[in-house]
Amino acid sequence: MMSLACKPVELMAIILARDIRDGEKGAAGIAAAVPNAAMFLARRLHAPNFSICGELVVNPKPKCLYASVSDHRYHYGAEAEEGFLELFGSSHKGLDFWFHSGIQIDKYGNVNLHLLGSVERPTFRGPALANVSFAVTSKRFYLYPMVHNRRVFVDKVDFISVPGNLQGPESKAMAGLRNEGPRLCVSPLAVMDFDPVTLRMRLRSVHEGHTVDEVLANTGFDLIVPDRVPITEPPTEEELRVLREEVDPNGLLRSY
Amino acid sequence: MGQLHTDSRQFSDTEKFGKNRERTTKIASVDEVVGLIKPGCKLGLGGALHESRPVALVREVVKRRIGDLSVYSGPVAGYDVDLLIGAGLVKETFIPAITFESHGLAPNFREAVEGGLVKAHILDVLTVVGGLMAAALGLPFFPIAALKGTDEVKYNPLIKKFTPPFGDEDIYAVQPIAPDVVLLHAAESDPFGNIRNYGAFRSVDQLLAKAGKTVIVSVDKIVSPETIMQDPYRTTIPCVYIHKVVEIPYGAHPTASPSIYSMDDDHIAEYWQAAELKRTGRNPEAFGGYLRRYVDEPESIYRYLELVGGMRKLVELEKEERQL
Repeated sequence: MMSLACKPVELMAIILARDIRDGEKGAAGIAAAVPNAAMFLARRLHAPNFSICGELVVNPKPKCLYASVSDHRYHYGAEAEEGFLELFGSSHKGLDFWFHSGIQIDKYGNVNLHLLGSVERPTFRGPALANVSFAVTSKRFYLYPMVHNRRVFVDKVDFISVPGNLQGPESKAMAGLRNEGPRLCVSPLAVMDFDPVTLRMRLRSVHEGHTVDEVLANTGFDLIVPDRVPITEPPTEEELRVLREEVDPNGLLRSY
Repeated sequence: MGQLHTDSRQFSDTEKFGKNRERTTKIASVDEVVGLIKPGCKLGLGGALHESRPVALVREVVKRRIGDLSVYSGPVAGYDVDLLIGAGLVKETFIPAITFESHGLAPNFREAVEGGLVKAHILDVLTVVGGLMAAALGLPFFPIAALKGTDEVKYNPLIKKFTPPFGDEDIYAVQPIAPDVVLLHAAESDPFGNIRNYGAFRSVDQLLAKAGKTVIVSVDKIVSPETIMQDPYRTTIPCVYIHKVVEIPYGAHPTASPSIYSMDDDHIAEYWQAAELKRTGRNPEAFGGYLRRYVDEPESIYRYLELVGGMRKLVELEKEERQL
Protein backbone atom coordinates (compact mmCIF):
# COMPACT_ATOMS: atom_id res chain seq x y z
CA MET A 1 0.00 0.00 0.00
CA MET A 2 1.08 3.50 -0.69
CA SER A 3 -0.02 6.35 1.41
CA LEU A 4 -0.70 8.65 -1.19
CA ALA A 5 -0.27 11.75 -2.94
CA CYS A 6 -2.72 10.77 -5.56
CA LYS A 7 -5.29 13.12 -7.01
CA PRO A 8 -8.91 12.57 -5.88
CA VAL A 9 -9.97 11.92 -9.48
CA GLU A 10 -7.28 9.26 -9.81
CA LEU A 11 -8.59 7.57 -6.69
CA MET A 12 -12.12 7.78 -8.11
CA ALA A 13 -10.98 5.99 -11.28
CA ILE A 14 -9.25 3.29 -9.24
CA ILE A 15 -12.31 2.68 -7.02
CA LEU A 16 -14.59 2.40 -10.05
CA ALA A 17 -12.14 0.05 -11.80
CA ARG A 18 -12.26 -2.35 -8.85
CA ASP A 19 -16.00 -2.90 -9.32
CA ILE A 20 -15.75 -3.91 -13.00
CA ARG A 21 -15.81 -7.72 -13.46
CA ASP A 22 -14.06 -9.77 -16.10
CA GLY A 23 -16.26 -10.62 -19.07
CA GLU A 24 -18.61 -7.66 -18.65
CA LYS A 25 -19.63 -5.05 -21.21
CA GLY A 26 -19.76 -1.36 -20.47
CA ALA A 27 -19.06 2.14 -21.76
CA ALA A 28 -19.14 5.83 -20.92
CA GLY A 29 -20.09 8.91 -22.89
CA ILE A 30 -18.62 12.35 -23.39
CA ALA A 31 -16.67 14.34 -20.79
CA ALA A 32 -15.81 11.03 -19.14
CA ALA A 33 -12.11 10.97 -18.33
CA VAL A 34 -12.66 9.26 -14.96
CA PRO A 35 -14.80 6.33 -16.17
CA ASN A 36 -12.62 5.92 -19.26
CA ALA A 37 -9.60 5.61 -17.00
CA ALA A 38 -11.50 3.16 -14.78
CA MET A 39 -12.38 0.91 -17.71
CA PHE A 40 -8.86 0.85 -19.18
CA LEU A 41 -7.44 0.22 -15.73
CA ALA A 42 -9.83 -2.67 -15.05
CA ARG A 43 -8.99 -4.26 -18.37
CA ARG A 44 -5.28 -4.10 -17.64
CA LEU A 45 -5.44 -5.17 -14.00
CA HIS A 46 -8.08 -7.85 -13.59
CA ALA A 47 -10.64 -7.90 -16.41
CA PRO A 48 -8.93 -8.78 -19.70
CA ASN A 49 -12.24 -10.01 -21.13
CA PHE A 50 -14.14 -6.85 -20.21
CA SER A 51 -15.28 -5.17 -23.44
CA ILE A 52 -15.92 -1.50 -24.01
CA CYS A 53 -18.78 -1.42 -26.51
CA GLY A 54 -22.22 -0.05 -27.26
CA GLU A 55 -21.12 3.53 -27.87
CA LEU A 56 -19.92 3.26 -31.50
CA VAL A 57 -16.42 1.98 -30.72
CA VAL A 58 -15.48 -1.56 -29.68
CA ASN A 59 -12.45 -2.03 -27.44
CA PRO A 60 -10.47 1.14 -28.14
CA LYS A 61 -6.82 1.05 -27.09
CA PRO A 62 -5.68 4.67 -27.12
CA LYS A 63 -2.08 5.47 -26.28
CA CYS A 64 -3.16 7.99 -23.68
CA LEU A 65 -6.34 9.02 -21.89
CA TYR A 66 -8.94 11.14 -23.64
CA ALA A 67 -11.97 12.68 -21.97
CA SER A 68 -14.48 11.44 -24.43
CA VAL A 69 -15.50 8.56 -26.64
CA SER A 70 -16.42 11.25 -29.13
CA ASP A 71 -12.78 12.23 -29.42
CA HIS A 72 -11.88 10.15 -32.43
CA ARG A 73 -8.25 9.89 -31.25
CA TYR A 74 -9.68 7.70 -28.51
CA HIS A 75 -10.61 5.21 -31.22
CA TYR A 76 -7.04 4.42 -32.25
CA GLY A 77 -6.31 0.74 -32.21
CA ALA A 78 -9.96 -0.12 -31.66
CA GLU A 79 -11.21 -3.50 -32.78
CA ALA A 80 -14.30 -2.23 -34.57
CA GLU A 81 -16.45 0.81 -35.24
CA GLU A 82 -20.20 0.53 -35.14
CA GLY A 83 -22.90 2.91 -36.32
CA PHE A 84 -25.98 4.53 -34.84
CA LEU A 85 -28.07 1.50 -35.74
CA GLU A 86 -26.00 -0.53 -33.28
CA LEU A 87 -26.05 2.31 -30.75
CA PHE A 88 -29.83 2.39 -30.99
CA GLY A 89 -29.89 -1.36 -30.33
CA SER A 90 -27.38 -1.29 -27.48
CA SER A 91 -29.31 1.53 -25.84
CA HIS A 92 -32.43 -0.62 -25.82
CA LYS A 93 -30.82 -3.92 -24.85
CA GLY A 94 -28.45 -2.38 -22.31
CA LEU A 95 -24.92 -3.18 -21.18
CA ASP A 96 -23.67 -4.43 -17.84
CA PHE A 97 -22.94 -0.91 -16.64
CA TRP A 98 -22.75 2.76 -17.51
CA PHE A 99 -21.48 5.93 -15.81
CA HIS A 100 -22.86 9.39 -15.06
CA SER A 101 -21.55 12.55 -13.55
CA GLY A 102 -24.06 15.28 -12.68
CA ILE A 103 -24.60 18.95 -12.00
CA GLN A 104 -27.01 17.71 -9.32
CA ILE A 105 -27.36 14.27 -7.74
CA ASP A 106 -30.01 13.60 -5.12
CA LYS A 107 -30.49 11.22 -2.23
CA TYR A 108 -32.03 8.59 -4.51
CA GLY A 109 -29.24 8.83 -7.04
CA ASN A 110 -31.28 10.72 -9.63
CA VAL A 111 -29.06 12.70 -11.98
CA ASN A 112 -29.55 16.20 -13.38
CA LEU A 113 -27.34 17.30 -16.25
CA HIS A 114 -29.85 19.62 -17.93
CA LEU A 115 -30.66 22.74 -15.95
CA LEU A 116 -31.33 24.57 -12.71
CA GLY A 117 -34.58 26.40 -12.13
CA SER A 118 -37.46 25.97 -14.55
CA VAL A 119 -37.39 24.30 -17.95
CA GLU A 120 -39.02 27.36 -19.54
CA ARG A 121 -36.43 29.79 -18.25
CA PRO A 122 -33.52 28.05 -16.51
CA THR A 123 -31.23 30.05 -14.27
CA PHE A 124 -28.46 27.71 -15.41
CA ARG A 125 -28.41 25.61 -18.55
CA GLY A 126 -26.02 22.68 -18.38
CA PRO A 127 -24.52 20.61 -21.16
CA ALA A 128 -27.30 17.98 -20.83
CA LEU A 129 -26.44 14.59 -22.23
CA ALA A 130 -27.10 12.51 -25.30
CA ASN A 131 -28.04 9.11 -23.94
CA VAL A 132 -30.59 8.97 -21.12
CA SER A 133 -31.27 5.26 -21.70
CA PHE A 134 -28.06 3.37 -21.06
CA ALA A 135 -28.24 3.84 -17.28
CA VAL A 136 -31.80 2.52 -17.29
CA THR A 137 -31.39 -0.42 -19.66
CA SER A 138 -27.98 -1.50 -18.33
CA LYS A 139 -27.79 -3.76 -15.30
CA ARG A 140 -26.31 -1.03 -13.09
CA PHE A 141 -24.64 2.34 -13.27
CA TYR A 142 -22.08 4.38 -11.39
CA LEU A 143 -22.13 8.00 -10.33
CA TYR A 144 -18.90 9.99 -10.38
CA PRO A 145 -19.54 13.62 -9.40
CA MET A 146 -16.36 15.63 -9.96
CA VAL A 147 -17.19 17.89 -7.00
CA HIS A 148 -18.67 17.00 -3.63
CA ASN A 149 -20.60 19.93 -2.21
CA ARG A 150 -24.14 20.99 -1.35
CA ARG A 151 -24.78 22.38 -4.80
CA VAL A 152 -24.20 18.96 -6.36
CA PHE A 153 -25.53 16.70 -3.57
CA VAL A 154 -29.08 18.03 -3.25
CA ASP A 155 -32.21 16.69 -1.58
CA LYS A 156 -34.13 16.65 -4.88
CA VAL A 157 -32.82 17.37 -8.36
CA ASP A 158 -34.45 20.23 -10.31
CA PHE A 159 -34.75 17.98 -13.37
CA ILE A 160 -34.40 14.22 -13.70
CA SER A 161 -32.18 13.76 -16.73
CA VAL A 162 -31.46 10.16 -15.77
CA PRO A 163 -33.48 8.35 -13.13
CA GLY A 164 -31.67 6.71 -10.26
CA ASN A 165 -34.11 5.24 -7.76
CA LEU A 166 -36.67 8.03 -8.42
CA GLN A 167 -38.50 8.60 -5.09
CA GLY A 168 -37.88 5.09 -3.73
CA PRO A 169 -38.86 1.48 -4.44
CA GLU A 170 -42.51 2.09 -5.31
CA SER A 171 -41.92 4.91 -7.80
CA LYS A 172 -39.03 3.00 -9.32
CA ALA A 173 -41.23 -0.03 -9.98
CA MET A 174 -44.07 2.17 -11.29
CA ALA A 175 -41.75 3.71 -13.85
CA GLY A 176 -40.75 0.28 -15.13
CA LEU A 177 -37.17 0.58 -13.88
CA ARG A 178 -36.31 -3.05 -13.30
CA ASN A 179 -32.53 -2.95 -13.10
CA GLU A 180 -30.29 -2.28 -10.14
CA GLY A 181 -29.88 1.40 -11.00
CA PRO A 182 -27.10 3.35 -9.29
CA ARG A 183 -24.69 1.04 -7.43
CA LEU A 184 -21.95 3.35 -6.24
CA CYS A 185 -21.49 7.09 -6.07
CA VAL A 186 -17.78 7.82 -5.99
CA SER A 187 -16.94 11.44 -5.18
CA PRO A 188 -13.68 13.24 -4.44
CA LEU A 189 -14.45 12.80 -0.71
CA ALA A 190 -16.11 9.44 -0.26
CA VAL A 191 -17.77 6.33 -1.61
CA MET A 192 -21.53 6.02 -1.24
CA ASP A 193 -23.86 3.12 -2.03
CA PHE A 194 -27.63 2.73 -1.71
CA ASP A 195 -29.58 1.24 1.19
CA PRO A 196 -31.27 -1.89 -0.22
CA VAL A 197 -34.59 -1.19 1.53
CA THR A 198 -35.13 2.54 1.11
CA LEU A 199 -32.89 2.89 -1.99
CA ARG A 200 -31.45 6.04 -0.41
CA MET A 201 -27.80 7.01 -0.57
CA ARG A 202 -25.63 5.67 2.24
CA LEU A 203 -22.06 6.45 3.17
CA ARG A 204 -19.77 3.48 2.60
CA SER A 205 -16.25 4.79 3.10
CA VAL A 206 -14.43 8.08 3.40
CA HIS A 207 -11.22 8.77 1.48
CA GLU A 208 -7.98 9.11 3.39
CA GLY A 209 -7.52 12.67 4.64
CA HIS A 210 -11.26 13.35 4.89
CA THR A 211 -13.84 12.83 7.66
CA VAL A 212 -17.46 11.79 7.99
CA ASP A 213 -18.29 15.26 9.29
CA GLU A 214 -16.70 16.86 6.24
CA VAL A 215 -18.77 14.63 3.95
CA LEU A 216 -21.96 15.46 5.84
CA ALA A 217 -21.18 19.17 5.81
CA ASN A 218 -20.86 19.02 2.05
CA THR A 219 -23.96 16.92 1.42
CA GLY A 220 -27.28 18.72 1.07
CA PHE A 221 -29.45 15.85 2.29
CA ASP A 222 -29.73 13.36 5.08
CA LEU A 223 -27.08 10.84 4.08
CA ILE A 224 -27.44 7.45 5.75
CA VAL A 225 -24.37 6.91 7.96
CA PRO A 226 -23.71 3.40 9.27
CA ASP A 227 -22.19 2.87 12.74
CA ARG A 228 -18.80 2.15 11.29
CA VAL A 229 -17.46 4.05 8.27
CA PRO A 230 -14.06 2.76 7.12
CA ILE A 231 -11.39 4.64 5.23
CA THR A 232 -11.59 3.96 1.49
CA GLU A 233 -9.06 1.30 0.61
CA PRO A 234 -6.17 3.33 -0.77
CA PRO A 235 -4.68 2.65 -4.20
CA THR A 236 -2.13 -0.11 -4.38
CA GLU A 237 1.25 0.62 -5.85
CA GLU A 238 0.27 -1.49 -8.85
CA GLU A 239 -3.03 0.34 -9.42
CA LEU A 240 -1.39 3.72 -9.33
CA ARG A 241 1.56 2.66 -11.47
CA VAL A 242 -0.64 1.18 -14.24
CA LEU A 243 -2.96 4.19 -14.11
CA ARG A 244 -0.12 6.69 -14.46
CA GLU A 245 2.25 4.81 -16.72
CA GLU A 246 -0.08 2.93 -19.03
CA VAL A 247 -3.57 4.42 -18.93
CA ASP A 248 -2.91 8.13 -18.42
CA PRO A 249 0.74 8.77 -19.31
CA ASN A 250 -0.06 12.37 -20.31
CA GLY A 251 -1.51 13.13 -16.89
CA LEU A 252 -5.01 14.17 -17.97
CA LEU A 253 -6.44 13.17 -14.59
CA ARG A 254 -3.63 14.88 -12.69
CA SER A 255 -4.52 18.11 -14.53
CA TYR A 256 -8.06 18.17 -13.05
CA MET B 1 -14.80 32.87 -49.80
CA GLY B 2 -12.88 33.46 -53.03
CA GLN B 3 -11.69 31.09 -55.70
CA LEU B 4 -11.11 27.55 -54.56
CA HIS B 5 -8.45 25.44 -56.10
CA THR B 6 -10.76 22.96 -57.77
CA ASP B 7 -13.59 24.54 -59.76
CA SER B 8 -16.15 22.92 -62.02
CA ARG B 9 -13.68 21.44 -64.47
CA GLN B 10 -15.03 18.72 -66.67
CA PHE B 11 -14.49 15.30 -65.25
CA SER B 12 -15.43 12.45 -67.53
CA ASP B 13 -17.00 9.29 -66.25
CA THR B 14 -15.52 6.08 -67.61
CA GLU B 15 -18.74 5.29 -69.42
CA LYS B 16 -19.18 6.53 -72.96
CA PHE B 17 -21.97 9.03 -73.39
CA GLY B 18 -23.70 10.25 -76.53
CA LYS B 19 -22.24 13.16 -78.46
CA ASN B 20 -22.27 16.37 -76.44
CA ARG B 21 -23.50 14.50 -73.38
CA GLU B 22 -21.53 14.78 -70.16
CA ARG B 23 -22.45 13.64 -66.71
CA THR B 24 -23.03 16.76 -64.63
CA THR B 25 -20.66 17.28 -61.75
CA LYS B 26 -21.96 18.36 -58.37
CA ILE B 27 -19.00 20.57 -57.61
CA ALA B 28 -20.28 23.97 -56.57
CA SER B 29 -18.92 27.23 -55.24
CA VAL B 30 -19.36 28.30 -51.65
CA ASP B 31 -21.61 31.17 -52.77
CA GLU B 32 -23.80 28.77 -54.69
CA VAL B 33 -24.30 26.34 -51.81
CA VAL B 34 -24.72 28.93 -49.10
CA GLY B 35 -27.38 30.51 -51.30
CA LEU B 36 -29.42 27.36 -50.75
CA ILE B 37 -29.60 28.04 -47.01
CA LYS B 38 -32.56 30.32 -46.32
CA PRO B 39 -33.29 32.27 -43.16
CA GLY B 40 -35.71 30.38 -40.92
CA CYS B 41 -34.83 26.98 -42.34
CA LYS B 42 -34.20 23.72 -40.54
CA LEU B 43 -30.46 23.30 -40.75
CA GLY B 44 -28.86 19.91 -40.04
CA LEU B 45 -25.14 19.75 -39.20
CA GLY B 46 -23.14 16.57 -39.63
CA GLY B 47 -20.44 15.06 -37.46
CA ALA B 48 -20.61 15.36 -33.72
CA LEU B 49 -18.96 17.49 -31.09
CA HIS B 50 -15.57 18.39 -32.54
CA GLU B 51 -15.28 15.84 -35.28
CA SER B 52 -16.24 16.11 -38.97
CA ARG B 53 -18.20 19.32 -38.51
CA PRO B 54 -18.88 21.44 -41.62
CA VAL B 55 -17.30 24.45 -39.97
CA ALA B 56 -16.12 26.37 -43.06
CA LEU B 57 -19.69 26.33 -44.40
CA VAL B 58 -21.03 27.36 -40.99
CA ARG B 59 -18.59 30.32 -41.02
CA GLU B 60 -20.09 31.35 -44.37
CA VAL B 61 -23.59 31.16 -42.89
CA VAL B 62 -22.39 33.39 -40.06
CA LYS B 63 -20.61 35.77 -42.43
CA ARG B 64 -23.86 36.26 -44.34
CA ARG B 65 -25.87 36.41 -41.09
CA ILE B 66 -28.45 33.87 -42.27
CA GLY B 67 -30.62 33.75 -39.18
CA ASP B 68 -33.76 32.49 -37.46
CA LEU B 69 -32.41 28.95 -37.83
CA SER B 70 -33.71 25.74 -36.29
CA VAL B 71 -30.56 23.73 -35.79
CA TYR B 72 -30.31 19.94 -35.83
CA SER B 73 -27.09 18.02 -35.54
CA GLY B 74 -25.34 14.80 -34.74
CA PRO B 75 -26.29 14.04 -31.11
CA VAL B 76 -23.60 16.19 -29.49
CA ALA B 77 -22.34 19.60 -30.60
CA GLY B 78 -20.01 22.31 -29.40
CA TYR B 79 -17.98 24.94 -31.22
CA ASP B 80 -19.92 25.53 -34.43
CA VAL B 81 -23.39 25.61 -32.86
CA ASP B 82 -22.11 27.94 -30.14
CA LEU B 83 -20.67 30.18 -32.89
CA LEU B 84 -24.02 30.34 -34.73
CA ILE B 85 -25.79 31.15 -31.46
CA GLY B 86 -23.21 33.78 -30.53
CA ALA B 87 -23.84 35.52 -33.85
CA GLY B 88 -27.56 35.61 -32.98
CA LEU B 89 -28.63 33.34 -35.83
CA VAL B 90 -30.38 30.54 -33.98
CA LYS B 91 -34.03 30.40 -32.93
CA GLU B 92 -34.03 26.89 -31.47
CA THR B 93 -31.83 23.82 -31.13
CA PHE B 94 -32.80 20.16 -31.40
CA ILE B 95 -29.48 18.83 -30.13
CA PRO B 96 -29.31 16.55 -27.08
CA ALA B 97 -26.03 17.84 -25.63
CA ILE B 98 -23.97 20.98 -26.25
CA THR B 99 -20.60 21.20 -24.53
CA PHE B 100 -16.93 22.07 -24.89
CA GLU B 101 -16.03 19.09 -22.70
CA SER B 102 -12.77 19.74 -20.86
CA HIS B 103 -12.79 23.43 -21.85
CA GLY B 104 -16.12 23.99 -20.13
CA LEU B 105 -19.78 24.60 -20.88
CA ALA B 106 -20.86 26.22 -24.15
CA PRO B 107 -20.76 29.96 -23.31
CA ASN B 108 -23.01 31.47 -25.99
CA PHE B 109 -25.46 28.58 -25.78
CA ARG B 110 -25.78 29.01 -22.03
CA GLU B 111 -26.11 32.77 -22.20
CA ALA B 112 -28.75 32.64 -24.93
CA VAL B 113 -30.83 29.90 -23.30
CA GLU B 114 -30.63 31.45 -19.83
CA GLY B 115 -31.52 34.82 -21.38
CA GLY B 116 -34.56 33.36 -23.13
CA LEU B 117 -33.18 34.13 -26.62
CA VAL B 118 -32.83 30.54 -27.82
CA LYS B 119 -35.15 27.62 -27.17
CA ALA B 120 -33.02 24.57 -26.42
CA HIS B 121 -35.37 21.65 -26.87
CA ILE B 122 -34.86 18.76 -24.52
CA LEU B 123 -34.33 15.48 -26.33
CA ASP B 124 -31.90 12.59 -26.44
CA VAL B 125 -29.81 10.61 -28.89
CA LEU B 126 -32.46 7.98 -29.54
CA THR B 127 -34.87 10.73 -30.56
CA VAL B 128 -32.29 12.10 -33.00
CA VAL B 129 -31.37 8.69 -34.41
CA GLY B 130 -34.98 7.49 -34.49
CA GLY B 131 -36.15 10.73 -36.13
CA LEU B 132 -33.42 10.53 -38.75
CA MET B 133 -34.18 6.84 -39.31
CA ALA B 134 -37.86 7.63 -39.88
CA ALA B 135 -36.95 10.31 -42.43
CA ALA B 136 -34.20 8.21 -44.04
CA LEU B 137 -36.39 5.13 -44.32
CA GLY B 138 -39.51 6.98 -45.45
CA LEU B 139 -41.53 6.04 -42.38
CA PRO B 140 -44.08 8.23 -40.54
CA PHE B 141 -42.38 7.55 -37.19
CA PHE B 142 -39.81 5.36 -35.51
CA PRO B 143 -40.41 3.60 -32.17
CA ILE B 144 -38.33 4.17 -29.03
CA ALA B 145 -38.79 1.85 -26.06
CA ALA B 146 -35.89 2.89 -23.83
CA LEU B 147 -37.15 6.18 -22.34
CA LYS B 148 -38.12 5.52 -18.73
CA GLY B 149 -38.12 7.64 -15.62
CA THR B 150 -36.59 10.69 -17.28
CA ASP B 151 -38.20 14.14 -17.18
CA GLU B 152 -37.11 14.51 -20.81
CA VAL B 153 -40.29 12.80 -22.01
CA LYS B 154 -42.41 15.62 -20.53
CA TYR B 155 -40.71 18.22 -22.72
CA ASN B 156 -39.36 16.46 -25.83
CA PRO B 157 -41.41 18.03 -28.67
CA LEU B 158 -40.68 15.29 -31.21
CA ILE B 159 -42.06 12.24 -29.38
CA LYS B 160 -45.49 10.92 -28.44
CA LYS B 161 -46.45 7.99 -26.24
CA PHE B 162 -48.46 5.24 -27.89
CA THR B 163 -49.69 1.70 -27.34
CA PRO B 164 -47.89 -0.51 -29.82
CA PRO B 165 -49.63 -3.48 -31.48
CA PHE B 166 -47.03 -5.85 -30.01
CA GLY B 167 -45.47 -5.99 -26.55
CA ASP B 168 -47.13 -5.09 -23.27
CA GLU B 169 -45.86 -1.59 -22.53
CA ASP B 170 -46.62 1.83 -23.95
CA ILE B 171 -43.62 3.21 -25.80
CA TYR B 172 -42.78 6.39 -27.73
CA ALA B 173 -42.95 7.31 -31.39
CA VAL B 174 -40.57 9.92 -32.74
CA GLN B 175 -41.57 11.94 -35.78
CA PRO B 176 -39.28 12.14 -38.83
CA ILE B 177 -36.40 14.61 -38.66
CA ALA B 178 -35.95 15.95 -42.17
CA PRO B 179 -33.82 19.12 -42.22
CA ASP B 180 -34.32 21.49 -45.17
CA VAL B 181 -30.58 21.67 -45.66
CA VAL B 182 -27.95 19.27 -44.34
CA LEU B 183 -24.31 20.37 -44.22
CA LEU B 184 -21.69 17.64 -43.91
CA HIS B 185 -17.92 17.58 -43.96
CA ALA B 186 -16.07 14.59 -45.37
CA ALA B 187 -12.52 13.72 -46.31
CA GLU B 188 -13.08 13.02 -50.01
CA SER B 189 -15.62 12.98 -52.78
CA ASP B 190 -15.51 12.48 -56.50
CA PRO B 191 -17.08 15.22 -58.65
CA PHE B 192 -20.40 13.38 -58.66
CA GLY B 193 -20.79 13.32 -54.89
CA ASN B 194 -19.61 9.84 -54.00
CA ILE B 195 -18.41 10.51 -50.48
CA ARG B 196 -15.78 8.91 -48.30
CA ASN B 197 -15.97 9.97 -44.72
CA TYR B 198 -14.19 8.52 -41.75
CA GLY B 199 -14.37 8.75 -38.02
CA ALA B 200 -16.64 7.71 -35.20
CA PHE B 201 -19.67 9.66 -36.35
CA ARG B 202 -19.81 8.86 -40.01
CA SER B 203 -22.95 6.83 -39.48
CA VAL B 204 -24.84 9.92 -38.34
CA ASP B 205 -23.71 11.62 -41.55
CA GLN B 206 -25.01 8.65 -43.50
CA LEU B 207 -28.39 9.07 -41.80
CA LEU B 208 -28.45 12.86 -42.21
CA ALA B 209 -27.67 12.50 -45.92
CA LYS B 210 -30.71 10.27 -46.35
CA ALA B 211 -32.95 12.36 -44.10
CA GLY B 212 -32.20 15.85 -45.44
CA LYS B 213 -34.05 17.55 -48.30
CA THR B 214 -30.93 19.24 -49.69
CA VAL B 215 -27.55 17.77 -48.82
CA ILE B 216 -24.33 19.76 -49.21
CA VAL B 217 -20.92 18.30 -48.43
CA SER B 218 -17.65 20.13 -47.97
CA VAL B 219 -14.66 17.90 -48.60
CA ASP B 220 -10.98 18.35 -47.90
CA LYS B 221 -10.21 16.95 -51.33
CA ILE B 222 -11.97 16.13 -54.60
CA VAL B 223 -10.67 12.85 -55.97
CA SER B 224 -11.12 11.34 -59.43
CA PRO B 225 -14.05 9.07 -60.28
CA GLU B 226 -11.47 6.34 -60.94
CA THR B 227 -10.25 6.60 -57.35
CA ILE B 228 -13.76 5.96 -56.07
CA MET B 229 -14.42 3.12 -58.50
CA GLN B 230 -11.22 1.33 -57.56
CA ASP B 231 -12.66 0.71 -54.12
CA PRO B 232 -16.45 1.18 -53.94
CA TYR B 233 -16.52 -0.46 -50.51
CA ARG B 234 -15.00 2.69 -49.12
CA THR B 235 -17.79 4.92 -50.43
CA THR B 236 -19.75 5.77 -47.31
CA ILE B 237 -22.45 7.95 -48.90
CA PRO B 238 -23.31 7.31 -52.56
CA CYS B 239 -23.84 10.21 -54.95
CA VAL B 240 -27.61 9.67 -55.16
CA TYR B 241 -28.08 11.31 -51.75
CA ILE B 242 -25.83 14.29 -52.40
CA HIS B 243 -26.82 17.53 -54.09
CA LYS B 244 -23.68 19.67 -53.98
CA VAL B 245 -20.02 19.16 -53.17
CA VAL B 246 -17.66 21.98 -52.25
CA GLU B 247 -13.93 21.50 -51.98
CA ILE B 248 -12.67 23.36 -48.92
CA PRO B 249 -9.26 22.22 -47.68
CA TYR B 250 -9.26 21.97 -43.89
CA GLY B 251 -12.97 22.75 -44.09
CA ALA B 252 -13.65 21.12 -40.71
CA HIS B 253 -11.07 23.19 -38.82
CA PRO B 254 -10.96 23.64 -35.81
CA THR B 255 -12.79 20.33 -35.58
CA ALA B 256 -11.17 17.15 -36.86
CA SER B 257 -11.39 15.56 -40.26
CA PRO B 258 -10.62 11.96 -39.27
CA SER B 259 -7.83 10.36 -41.29
CA ILE B 260 -6.47 13.81 -42.26
CA TYR B 261 -6.18 16.18 -39.29
CA SER B 262 -7.03 16.19 -35.60
CA MET B 263 -9.10 18.82 -33.83
CA ASP B 264 -7.32 22.08 -33.01
CA ASP B 265 -7.75 22.20 -29.24
CA ASP B 266 -5.77 25.46 -29.00
CA HIS B 267 -8.13 27.26 -31.33
CA ILE B 268 -11.20 25.83 -29.62
CA ALA B 269 -9.75 27.07 -26.31
CA GLU B 270 -9.18 30.53 -27.83
CA TYR B 271 -12.79 30.63 -28.99
CA TRP B 272 -14.07 29.42 -25.63
CA GLN B 273 -12.09 32.08 -23.78
CA ALA B 274 -13.48 34.84 -26.01
CA ALA B 275 -17.06 33.63 -25.66
CA GLU B 276 -16.73 33.09 -21.91
CA LEU B 277 -15.22 36.56 -21.40
CA LYS B 278 -18.27 38.01 -23.12
CA ARG B 279 -20.72 35.83 -21.19
CA THR B 280 -19.27 36.76 -17.82
CA GLY B 281 -19.06 40.43 -18.78
CA ARG B 282 -15.33 40.54 -18.09
CA ASN B 283 -14.72 41.56 -21.69
CA PRO B 284 -17.94 42.16 -23.63
CA GLU B 285 -15.96 42.84 -26.82
CA ALA B 286 -14.01 39.59 -26.84
CA PHE B 287 -16.47 37.51 -28.80
CA GLY B 288 -17.14 40.26 -31.36
CA GLY B 289 -13.39 40.44 -31.83
CA TYR B 290 -13.27 36.71 -32.51
CA LEU B 291 -16.09 36.98 -35.06
CA ARG B 292 -14.41 39.83 -36.92
CA ARG B 293 -10.99 38.22 -36.94
CA TYR B 294 -11.89 34.67 -37.93
CA VAL B 295 -15.26 34.91 -39.66
CA ASP B 296 -16.01 38.32 -41.13
CA GLU B 297 -12.65 39.63 -42.24
CA PRO B 298 -10.88 36.65 -43.88
CA GLU B 299 -11.65 36.92 -47.59
CA SER B 300 -10.75 33.31 -48.29
CA ILE B 301 -10.24 29.95 -46.63
CA TYR B 302 -6.50 30.46 -47.18
CA ARG B 303 -6.50 33.70 -45.21
CA TYR B 304 -8.44 31.97 -42.43
CA LEU B 305 -5.95 29.11 -42.35
CA GLU B 306 -3.07 31.61 -42.08
CA LEU B 307 -4.81 33.32 -39.17
CA VAL B 308 -5.25 30.08 -37.23
CA GLY B 309 -1.57 29.22 -37.49
CA GLY B 310 -0.86 28.49 -41.13
CA MET B 311 1.17 25.57 -42.46
CA ARG B 312 2.97 25.00 -39.19
CA LYS B 313 -0.29 24.44 -37.32
CA LEU B 314 -1.88 22.37 -40.06
CA VAL B 315 1.13 20.08 -40.36
CA GLU B 316 1.06 19.66 -36.59
CA LEU B 317 -2.61 18.62 -36.70
CA GLU B 318 -1.92 16.22 -39.56
CA LYS B 319 0.97 14.69 -37.66
CA GLU B 320 -1.20 14.27 -34.63
CA GLU B 321 -3.78 12.49 -36.77
CA ARG B 322 -1.12 10.10 -38.04
CA GLN B 323 0.05 9.65 -34.44
CA LEU B 324 3.53 10.98 -35.16
